[in-house]
Amino acid sequence: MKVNSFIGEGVNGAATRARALEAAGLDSIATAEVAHDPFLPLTLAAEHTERIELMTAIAVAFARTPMALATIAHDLNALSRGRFILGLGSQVKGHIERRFGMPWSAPAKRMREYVLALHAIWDSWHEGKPLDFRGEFYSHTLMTPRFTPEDVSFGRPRIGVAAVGPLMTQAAAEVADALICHRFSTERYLREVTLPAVEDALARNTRPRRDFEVVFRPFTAIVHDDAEFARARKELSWHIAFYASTPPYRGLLEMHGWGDLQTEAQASVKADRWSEIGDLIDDEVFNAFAVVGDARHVADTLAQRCEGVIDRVSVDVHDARPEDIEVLVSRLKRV
Amino acid sequence: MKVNTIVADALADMPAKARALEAAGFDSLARAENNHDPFLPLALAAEHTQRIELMTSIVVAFGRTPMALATIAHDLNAMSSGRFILGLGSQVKGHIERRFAMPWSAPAARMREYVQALHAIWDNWYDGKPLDFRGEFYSHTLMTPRFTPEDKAYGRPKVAIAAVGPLMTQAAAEVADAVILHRFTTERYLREVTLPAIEGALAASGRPRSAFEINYPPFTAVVHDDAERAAARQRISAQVAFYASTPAYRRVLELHGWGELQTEMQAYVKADRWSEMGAMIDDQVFGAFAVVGDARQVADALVARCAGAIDRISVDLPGATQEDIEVVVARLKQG
Repeated sequence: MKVNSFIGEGVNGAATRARALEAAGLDSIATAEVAHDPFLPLTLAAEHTERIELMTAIAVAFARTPMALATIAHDLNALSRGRFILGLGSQVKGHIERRFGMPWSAPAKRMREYVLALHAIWDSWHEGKPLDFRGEFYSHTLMTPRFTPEDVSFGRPRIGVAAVGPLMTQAAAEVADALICHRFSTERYLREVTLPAVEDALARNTRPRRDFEVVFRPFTAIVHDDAEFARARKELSWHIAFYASTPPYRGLLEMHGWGDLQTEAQASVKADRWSEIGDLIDDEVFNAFAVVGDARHVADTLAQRCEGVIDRVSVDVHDARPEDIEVLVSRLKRV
Repeated sequence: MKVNTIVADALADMPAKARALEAAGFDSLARAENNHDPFLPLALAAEHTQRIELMTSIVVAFGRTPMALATIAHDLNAMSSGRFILGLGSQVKGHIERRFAMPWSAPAARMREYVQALHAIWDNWYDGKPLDFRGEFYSHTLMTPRFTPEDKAYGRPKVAIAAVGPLMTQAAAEVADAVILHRFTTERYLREVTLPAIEGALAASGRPRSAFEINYPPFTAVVHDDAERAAARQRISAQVAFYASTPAYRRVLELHGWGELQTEMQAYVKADRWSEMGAMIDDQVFGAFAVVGDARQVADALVARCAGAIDRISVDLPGATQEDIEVVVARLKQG
């Protein structure tokens, strides 16, 4: 299993953290798109590393036109000599329309077409095919030599698609190189829902499972004493409860017989009782989503949960102790 | 006068190039958007320099949503400690619609609103004003603390607009910090058309001329002998002829009584006689657009053309020696 870590937000210190994580044996580092652009830190990371893969997990696809992302992904892949993975996420309607001022509709269908549009652009650049992509959501029908990158020796970047529901999971398995599972997933959900959906979609498209990658970033924390445990329990519980409050994730809770938790968490959010929502997460729910303990415990538990399902596990170790990272990385890589 | 230069080096070569340009005394370096993303190289330049300003000249505004550009411009400005200038261009209808798959209409009105949208986003981030921008072309009405950058010490980036026609020039003078003139400009057009239009628009907006910057990238070449002179004449004539063929630039030629040249050049383009076009540019037309000579001649001629009109001159000097560059930069900075 490959091991990924996020490097934290923003460009400050990105180069130093990237070098340290490469030295610690991580297979890849990732940026998320929250309050900063996700590509600039990876540019510095590419400059300062040799081997480690670089990914966005995720960049908000629908906030940009495929042409802009095709270009930036190409450039990062060329600079890093083929180490870039473009991880795409849909975000939600409100943020796409009202924050980004871009169109939203049929997200799984749109994402599927988005990836096809990226490949049509790269087909033009890498293989000289005429660009004549006419989709339902995106059309790209003009490309001239002046706008064609010349540095095509590292080929096209790989693409990951972040999915929660079955339609987006299916789109990922049809057109992308990797599925980025949502953090709000339990082992049971991964094995009983996600994996069968992936295998099914791959089979229908006659794609072998080994050519496809499933990426998962569970809630984890490495702790050394009771005080650290309590802090991690509280912080992660808040995140879990926040996701639990969101209607799209109810199906997952219902599978475990925890559907009422969604109703309760949503009521707490609506009543603006944010600080209390973490209290709704009991030990059983907590342990289904999160892994907290010393490095050995975290590594062994993750190994067990991911075995046979996950190809790349993401742990947040950019500020962990070097000896903990070593234990974690060496054990997870053996899976 | 500030001195800028436009660079097109591969990403991996940017750190050394940026350091060299800073050492040579340039006030700014710029990246155009052709077949690569224009921001990634500036991130590397920012990392490896201390003083030199960094600008896009230009990035295709309408190929992106204001939110994406507001974010990346903020990040580059913060990482460069306030040295970033976001230079925006409209591109043309065909490229926006068919290459970028983004909407095109009323470019000057759209560009004015685009800059206002950027400032509405930055007003929210830097001044805590609610984000409620509802324009004719762009709407941005959602921002939460989670998506708000925290590193605001350097304030908002400066914004420049590339303009050819009177409407875009007026939009720049109304809402931007600088205008980037088209290289297809003569001194006479500059003084008789562009400058009065800018001064009129600034006065109408109650903005002092001293708070606004005019940026001009003339055709230039430093040459050392007759063979180099002939090569530069041929290379630049082809570019002048190409621009001369474009109806949008006819008004520049008409001011000089050369309107027929546009008709002729357009006919050559339509007849696919590209290679013959440069030869149609006579000495008088060539001399009005281009400055070719030894370093001192080029510097003196540019100073004479720009005196009292231009605040930042953009020179690219292929074939110039290190010594030539020092002469040109030092002389222009005094001018």
